[in-house]
Amino acid sequence: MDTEQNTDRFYRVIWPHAAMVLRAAQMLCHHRAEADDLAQETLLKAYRYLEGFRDGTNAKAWILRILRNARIDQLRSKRAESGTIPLNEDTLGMSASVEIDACPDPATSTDAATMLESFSDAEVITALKELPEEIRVTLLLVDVEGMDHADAAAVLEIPVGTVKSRAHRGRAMLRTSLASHAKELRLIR
Amino acid sequence: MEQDQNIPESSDDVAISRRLRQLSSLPVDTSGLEARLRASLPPRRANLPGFRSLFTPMRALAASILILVGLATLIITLASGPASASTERMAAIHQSAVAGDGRTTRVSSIAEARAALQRKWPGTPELPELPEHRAMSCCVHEIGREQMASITFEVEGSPVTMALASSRDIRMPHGEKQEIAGKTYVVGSASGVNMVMSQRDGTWMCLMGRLSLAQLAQLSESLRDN
Repeated sequence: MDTEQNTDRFYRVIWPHAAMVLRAAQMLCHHRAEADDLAQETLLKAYRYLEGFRDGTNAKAWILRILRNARIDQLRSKRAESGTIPLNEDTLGMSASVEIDACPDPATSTDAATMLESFSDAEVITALKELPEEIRVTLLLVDVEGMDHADAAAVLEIPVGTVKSRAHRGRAMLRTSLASHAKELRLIR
Repeated sequence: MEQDQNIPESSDDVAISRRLRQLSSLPVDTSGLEARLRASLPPRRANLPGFRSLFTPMRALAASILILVGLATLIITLASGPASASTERMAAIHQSAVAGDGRTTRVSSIAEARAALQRKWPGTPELPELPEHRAMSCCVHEIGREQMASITFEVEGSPVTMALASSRDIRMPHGEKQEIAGKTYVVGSASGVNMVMSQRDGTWMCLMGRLSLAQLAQLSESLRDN
């Protein structure tokens, strides 16, 4: 396939998912420029690897997997630049704070739906960004993008059960975080 | 260490999940991203100038097929359309008949001419009667892929050739329209041979000889009436 055909195919198959890629990057990254770089790098990699994509298969899952790998590269690069320990799968995984927040405080466990609706999208995203990377990306795939656990597991290259437990803990952490903000804002008692 | 387990979703899980799902419809501006990608990616085929895109392999093949089909259609149209007889060719036919060259069949009557022509060309148009004239010869000619019958006879001592053909198969020679004795004819002349042509019921008839156009027209009218 020549480059022009590849470009045509890119705009036909991949570009329709560009908004999803940029939105996901903005939820994963803490800075706008970082998110723009991640989205661009993801789409450029998708272009480079496009010959490996088979028409009729799940393009969204394929792109999100590239996004996931590009994000790992981005984090490794950042940590290398800052002189910290190189990122590996463990450091990208669960942190201690995840474990302790897994069970929500009964006092904050009020009507979650009502509380959630009182927050703007921007506030929910801010709370999401406070979660550990692996929890954040799991919620992004499963809840924001609506992927089933099996597809999300394939993207993250982890067992389906791990996806489910991360999603569950992530929701609990997010609820705890938002409940805390709600208390501060006197939205709940 | 993470535990791989199946965890039943609580109502809080569902509420959080639904709230997060709403974020998937957040509008984002991809124009900046698109501009950066355009700067990094090769151009799309759709953005190429039309002239260059004409020469992509598939389009070149399609264009070649179209040209071939067009040429084939032109050839078939030309080959299957009516053949064309020129005034020069008609004059040559008359001169050959008068000279009695090898291809002509000598006849002494219109009945003989009919029989001879039918043998050569069963599709010979019906010949009119020649009550006052003596038949001399007849012949079947090929104009392109089509056939034309001719019979040569004497009119007041001057040989006249009458050519007959289907107007569907052979086009009448080009000539000017002229009204003679209240009738419109196509007339022409070549190599000193005058021609008066008319068409009726899908057959065109050309009378040619040294006679004047008026005489040939008058003869044509009398033959048509027979």
